[in-house]
Amino acid sequence: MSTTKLEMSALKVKEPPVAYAARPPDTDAGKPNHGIWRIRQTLPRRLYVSLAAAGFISAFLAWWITSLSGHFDPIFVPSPAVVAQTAIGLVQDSTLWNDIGTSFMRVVIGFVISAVFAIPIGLFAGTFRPVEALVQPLTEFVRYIPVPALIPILMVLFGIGETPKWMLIFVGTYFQLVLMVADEVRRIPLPLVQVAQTLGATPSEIVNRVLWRAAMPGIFDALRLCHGWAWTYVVVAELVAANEGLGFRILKFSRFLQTPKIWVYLILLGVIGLALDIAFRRLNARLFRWADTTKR
Amino acid sequence: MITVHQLEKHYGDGAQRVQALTPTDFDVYSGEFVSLVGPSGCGKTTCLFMLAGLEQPSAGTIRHNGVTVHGPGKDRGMVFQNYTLYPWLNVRENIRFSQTLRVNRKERVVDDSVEYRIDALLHLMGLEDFADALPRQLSGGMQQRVAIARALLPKPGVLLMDEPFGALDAQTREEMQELLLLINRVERTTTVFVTHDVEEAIYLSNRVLVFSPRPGAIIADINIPFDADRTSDIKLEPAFISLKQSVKQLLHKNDQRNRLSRFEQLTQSSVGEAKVKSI
Repeated sequence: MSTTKLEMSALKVKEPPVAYAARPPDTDAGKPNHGIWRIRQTLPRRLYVSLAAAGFISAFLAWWITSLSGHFDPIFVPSPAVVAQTAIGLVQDSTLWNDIGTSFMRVVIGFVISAVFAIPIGLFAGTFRPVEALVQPLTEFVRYIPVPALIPILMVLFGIGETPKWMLIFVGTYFQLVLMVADEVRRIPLPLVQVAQTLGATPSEIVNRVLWRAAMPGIFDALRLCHGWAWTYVVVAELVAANEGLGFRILKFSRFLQTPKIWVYLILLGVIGLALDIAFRRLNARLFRWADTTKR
Repeated sequence: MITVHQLEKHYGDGAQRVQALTPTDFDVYSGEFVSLVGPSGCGKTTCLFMLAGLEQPSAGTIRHNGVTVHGPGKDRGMVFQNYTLYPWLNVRENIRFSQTLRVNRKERVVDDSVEYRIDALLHLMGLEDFADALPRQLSGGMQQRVAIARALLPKPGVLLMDEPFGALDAQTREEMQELLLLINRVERTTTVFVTHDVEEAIYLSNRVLVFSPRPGAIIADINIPFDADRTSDIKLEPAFISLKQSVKQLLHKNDQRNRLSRFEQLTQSSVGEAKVKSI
């Protein structure tokens, strides 16, 4: 009997202790703690989009107010209305679409050449130390040579056709991409490799089936980032020597002081970049559902 | 059977030389469950990694069933402390991974037998409802279950486990310990288990090897007198508790002795230096 009593009393702890009941009510209870300002707090999607839109709108307003203020000659800072009118005119003209197509093709070809070399070389540099020693210091060195400074040499080597433009994009993105890919591969936790080894995987199986697979989402993200630079270098190349393309057109407009048209092209470059960036992100999330891409 | 002979490991050279493991001998017999227990930095994990072939010994030899270990091989499966599932493969594909490798594709005779064994392991691990889940959808304990199943699938001669439950919460840890005992009874895989938890070591093992702090050495080889069909109830038995106490005391005493001798070394050398300076 006595043991059961003891057990009962030991189990009876539902009553809150006195000290707890006597505590003053917690005034902050129920209030969100710092809310959206908590460090690394995630935002509801709708709020995120609204804030992003607010950023664009404030930039637009700043531009509008600047143009209205009269401090600048409207030739240099045209009002949004003038730019919008110009845009409508340009969109109906085939030149704009040709320019987009030309620049787009240059970016695609240059960037594909770059990725085709950078991904395998980066993969091996991140996997095997001898490859890293061979490739990485050299790459770091070349990376610090300003790419536009290479234009004269590229023109001497490849003439003034399409090849020097592709090569400029290649040079501008390849060296960055190699390093980023190698870093992604190095970031793969060693135990993932060791598990494969203890299961009997050969080195080539580890590269193909573990390192390559595990690095894919990161490599894809590196492509997204590098691809942005490709657009910078295509414009640089076209500013120097070209007969068409977005960069060439901007230079031509500037010779005739057609600033509204320049603005249209600049905004267009931003829109293309942003759209491709979003496309890359979406594709990444879709292709690599297994990875927690929200952390990127 | 594993035979470890004069196994030694040190890192660095000259003044930076760190002795991780002093020359060590031990055997692990077939079907045995042996735990290596000791404080952090005592060389027990280093020892396990050398058994796996993932680290090279500085001296000495390891033989598994008479064959000298030179590197990792499929005869020695391993479960790591952290989650090591391939995130792009679902649970079933992770467990099957070893069978898709060239070493196993060559000698595979009947394809269906592998799938049956995967099903059996899924069942044994309580994972039958999660066969199609991706690792990121699983809790830590579940992920470790998959990792164990993956290591067991090819029926390795020995299973090496490096603090596999170290990152789990206490309750999950106990569940996993019981699961491991169950697996042991079914699979009878020779197991070398590294942990710093004395209770866990005694509860799971046939034999416990106690390591001293750095430089690591085996200071005791204890036979655990409990049956294979033990349950967590034995943790409350006096025999269990006194065994646990004596291992803890052994570790503690050794730690103190080491510190004392190190202290004496340091004070003597400083006295020596002082004398030299005064001359």
